Amino acid sequence: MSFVHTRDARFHVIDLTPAKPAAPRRALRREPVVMLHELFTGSAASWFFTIAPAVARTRRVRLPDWRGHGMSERTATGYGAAAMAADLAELTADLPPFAIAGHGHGASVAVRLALAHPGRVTRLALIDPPFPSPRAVRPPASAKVPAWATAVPGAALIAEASPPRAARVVATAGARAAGESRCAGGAPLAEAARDGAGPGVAALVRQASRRPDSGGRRRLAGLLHETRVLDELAADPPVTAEELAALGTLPVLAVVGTDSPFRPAAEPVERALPRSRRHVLAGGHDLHITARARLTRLLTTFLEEDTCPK
Amino acid sequence: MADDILGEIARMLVEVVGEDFLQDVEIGMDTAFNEELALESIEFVALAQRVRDRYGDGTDLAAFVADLDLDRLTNLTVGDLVRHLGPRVRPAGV
Repeated sequence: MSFVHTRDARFHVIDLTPAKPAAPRRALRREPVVMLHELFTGSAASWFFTIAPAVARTRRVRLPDWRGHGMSERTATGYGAAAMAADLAELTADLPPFAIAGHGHGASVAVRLALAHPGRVTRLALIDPPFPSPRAVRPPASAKVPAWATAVPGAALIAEASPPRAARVVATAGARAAGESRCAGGAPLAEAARDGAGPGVAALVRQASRRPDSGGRRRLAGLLHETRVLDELAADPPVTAEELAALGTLPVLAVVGTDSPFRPAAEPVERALPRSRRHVLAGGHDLHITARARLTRLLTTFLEEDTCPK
Repeated sequence: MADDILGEIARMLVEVVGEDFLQDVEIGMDTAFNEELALESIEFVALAQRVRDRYGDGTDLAAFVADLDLDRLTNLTVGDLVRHLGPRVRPAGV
């Protein structure tokens, strides 16, 4: 499948399957994995050029582009986690029960989908999820900064100094900064490339297109300025400890970065789900790039624990 | 055979990126995806999907790209892709 019309939009969806010579039939009977990218700077390519090929050696992998991202259609609304979970339910309706690996906001949507559709999700890998720590200092009430915006260096400072309409300004600045640093090949990617973080880095750096009106830049600008995505995210309640606890016995892997603002997210996961596996890897928010090899090993090991009868 | 694949890749690139972006570029074996076409990562993924749809799962472009080192990926050319596909694509009628 490449494009799917569902709900009110046209979605781009990539399916990877094990190459035939290396794919015993049992590989295709294993539970599939749906890998969800981060908002704004992410797309299906984030996984395609990093970890998805290794996972797809043994099982089917599905990589959707969220609405307004990658090659999926941009709509005016529909960017809250509940709406995105409804999108995801439609985009996975043809699959048997599946595992999810979600990065950033993708992890929040994964939790909401698992809770809304018990039995559909077999295991959850939460990669640097933006779950608030119970001990975290709440931002001022006048500055409803969406959790993902705090991933952007300087966003917190902007929030402190921002006037009452801080939410949109900060969120826009945050997304723009993220776009400049991660999408347009700024410091984090350059550093990762120098450190030999993996060949996928070069592909992601290519998003720094020399085409002045490249599709990537147009898409990001359109998403930020022509939709309600920032308002919807600002109004979106973060995943709570109660929601995590409601996952019950679902196997959960949580991985956070040493330098990520979301590192404290491991704490509510540990409290709510003491049987979950939790790891801290060296790196920031984009662990699929900077800690690609270790994250690949953690994820493939976690998935191999699949105990569903074959 | 290689010419056939090259022609197919060029056609797919037009589908993915659009004629406007490629009107001044003649796509040949030495054309670099990054340097000359400025292909974005999601566009390369879309190209890979079209290659799979056209030539089948055995082309496994995701694994091909994942195994390349940084320099080779940065300098990947249309010819690299054509040479990868050559042994994996059956001539018509065989």
